[in-house]
Amino acid sequence: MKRVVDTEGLIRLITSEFDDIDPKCITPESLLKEVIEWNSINSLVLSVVIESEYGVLLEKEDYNQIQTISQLMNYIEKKTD
Amino acid sequence: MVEIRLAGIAAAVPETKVLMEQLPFPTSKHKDQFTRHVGVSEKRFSNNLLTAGDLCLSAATQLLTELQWDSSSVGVLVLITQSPDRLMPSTAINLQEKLGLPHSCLAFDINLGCSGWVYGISVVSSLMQTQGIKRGLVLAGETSVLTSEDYLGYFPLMGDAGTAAALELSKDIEPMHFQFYSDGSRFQAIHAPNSGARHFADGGIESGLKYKAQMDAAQVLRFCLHDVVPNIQSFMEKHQADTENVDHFVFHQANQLINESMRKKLNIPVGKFPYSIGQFGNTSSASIPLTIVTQLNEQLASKQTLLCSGFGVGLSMAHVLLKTEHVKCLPLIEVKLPVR
Repeated sequence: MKRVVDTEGLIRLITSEFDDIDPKCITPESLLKEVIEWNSINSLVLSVVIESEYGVLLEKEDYNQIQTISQLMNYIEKKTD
Repeated sequence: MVEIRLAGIAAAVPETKVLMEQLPFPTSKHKDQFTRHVGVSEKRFSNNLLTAGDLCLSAATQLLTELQWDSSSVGVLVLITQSPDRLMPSTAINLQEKLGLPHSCLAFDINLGCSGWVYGISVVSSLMQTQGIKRGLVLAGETSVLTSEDYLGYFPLMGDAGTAAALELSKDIEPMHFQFYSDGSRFQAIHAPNSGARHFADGGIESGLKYKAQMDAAQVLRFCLHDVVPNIQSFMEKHQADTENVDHFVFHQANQLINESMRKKLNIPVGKFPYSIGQFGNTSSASIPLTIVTQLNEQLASKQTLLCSGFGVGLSMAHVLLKTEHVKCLPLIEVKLPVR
């Protein structure tokens, strides 16, 4: 079933897992790689939190195409379609 | 049919600890993130001075002594490892001699990793039942010879350990139940690409240098959450096992982030889901027996129902539902590294 992903919920999810991020500094157009320090551990952490909340696993080959928070939202919505 | 009882269990690790602080993470923040999410604070490292066979030998020797089993009474010995002493012969056969087991003893290695301990218990149990063998040993051990110290996604995670489980024929115990799964199509999720004959058959000419293991964390995550979790659910349903009637869920210590996600999906209470990854890292096939020895030592004196699940390299998984009673569980054995 298609799931509507709300921006605030997604930002809250990310900031709850990465405790050094200020939620006020994040907008839908924020670049993921600027919000989260990008390394193998953090990409795994992001995958696990997205999977637990939305049941969607980020494909490795899709990582590079998902640049912003809103693109991540669209990706999740498309995968739950 | 005569059933099989877990009579005793022991685990040996190198005495030398490696703290995450000692490893060359790019920044201390990166190290903190690793410890927080992956769950490893320290691990044991043999630094190539002890093999998996050596660690298993220490565990098995002390276990036979504590059980007061005469070595001549052991009729089958299986070693689960992906870091054997040599590619030939099987290290288990070297251990037949070192443990003083009789020549009539079946001895061979099984090349499996994270899922291996459960396979070993199944294979040895079946041999004992069909061949009428009274006593058997399942050894499971790994040293991180296949992990490259340059590879920060993998090296800090992997720890060294060797374990021994003693099985005996018994008329007074409920049968064990098993479930297995293999998927060779995803072998590249965790593999050591140049570690065997395929490399040469495919025209490779470099030998020995590029044989280290690689892991695709995204594929491993997909396997654990979307294949292993439903498989465990179907296993539990088949055998009417639930989070009430199982006392401890002893899972392979893959990675705390992944294990916690699996625990939550299966609704397993925190208190029934022991971890040893913090002190020992991921010890491959040794992780389930090492977790039992270090986390459930006292509990195993009384009647317990365990659900053990191993999953990973292969891709492969196996689960066992195991009733235990009066298991001789030895304290952790720490082995000094020899001076070279």
